[in-house]
Amino acid sequence: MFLGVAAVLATASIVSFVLNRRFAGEVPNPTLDNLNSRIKAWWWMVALIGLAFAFGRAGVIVLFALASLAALREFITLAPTRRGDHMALAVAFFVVLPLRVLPGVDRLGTGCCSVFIPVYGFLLLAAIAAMRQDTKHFMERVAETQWGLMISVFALSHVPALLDLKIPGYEGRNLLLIAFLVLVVQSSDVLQYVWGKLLGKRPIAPQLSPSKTVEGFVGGVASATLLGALLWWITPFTLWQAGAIALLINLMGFFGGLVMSAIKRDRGVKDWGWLIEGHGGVIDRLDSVIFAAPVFFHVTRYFWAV
Amino acid sequence: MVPVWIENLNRVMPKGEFVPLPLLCTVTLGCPIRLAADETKTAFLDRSRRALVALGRRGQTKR
Repeated sequence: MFLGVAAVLATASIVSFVLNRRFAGEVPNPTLDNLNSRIKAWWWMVALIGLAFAFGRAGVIVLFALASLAALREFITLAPTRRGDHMALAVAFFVVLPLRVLPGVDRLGTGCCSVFIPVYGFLLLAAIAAMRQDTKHFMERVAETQWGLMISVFALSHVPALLDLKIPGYEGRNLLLIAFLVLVVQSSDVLQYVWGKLLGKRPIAPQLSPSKTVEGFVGGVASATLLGALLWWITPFTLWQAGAIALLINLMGFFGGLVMSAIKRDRGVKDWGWLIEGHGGVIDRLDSVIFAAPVFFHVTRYFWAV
Repeated sequence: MVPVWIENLNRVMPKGEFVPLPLLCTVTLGCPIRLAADETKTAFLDRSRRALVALGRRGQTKR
């Protein structure tokens, strides 16, 4: 499967090389430059995931812990918090985040700990902020801190949590569930971009993102759903089930892109950060996975896990 | 002496706090400033302060 991904990336590199040759020496082409850096960054990201998978469970936990930290940094940087939030944010970064992402302390599906951020973080961080007695925009500030944790830490932690599902007849293969989720959702992003660039005409949400088109959405989601169905053999699902689940997570991923675009537009920025060349920040790349992971986790747990 | 402007520092660690937050920052490095031969201490401090403020302002217009 990794060979398949590498083959696709190699093809993309060759295509961009040919495009570069053809347009060499003409006026600077920002779209092409962006395509080049995107493909380059994809090589790095696939190598990173491959490395994490090579270390198995520990590798995946470390990779997503770092991703959560990077995402929370980006989110809080753009949130207009005040000095009165400092202690609550320090607790969010140095207590809540490690408790959530580190193994053994808190795993989903094992009782009270799965509601750690949505219940205890929700109530106690607001209490910590209240003790500073700064009431200006209090509710907005508390809500922003909580949203940052829900998006960057809680939702994303459903990816490594897939390793804890006990599916009869699928023992020892849970890493492939993560591969399925990430591969389908990310390919949906890429295919929406490709279809949009090729025949995108009607913008689907012009107020949020000028680059998202109806053609890109339909073509991207449909082709990524087909890909998901064809990957049924790495999952505990049948062909049709894999297709239905792929459609579901692709739609969630699309919603993730829309919601995170709305926040960026409101904050007046184009990207969440600059960690990944050509893509922007970690949240720019993971917004779809963040929205798809909890739904994928719960559907799989409800219908397949014991 | 090299003036360094750290944008967002007031949110990373406001006055009186003891834990820095790991937020994104932009560090702008300025040109080195040297003490001139006949410059007084206050004049030099004032000149370095202005160099620093100018760096901060440049960072803001860039964004």
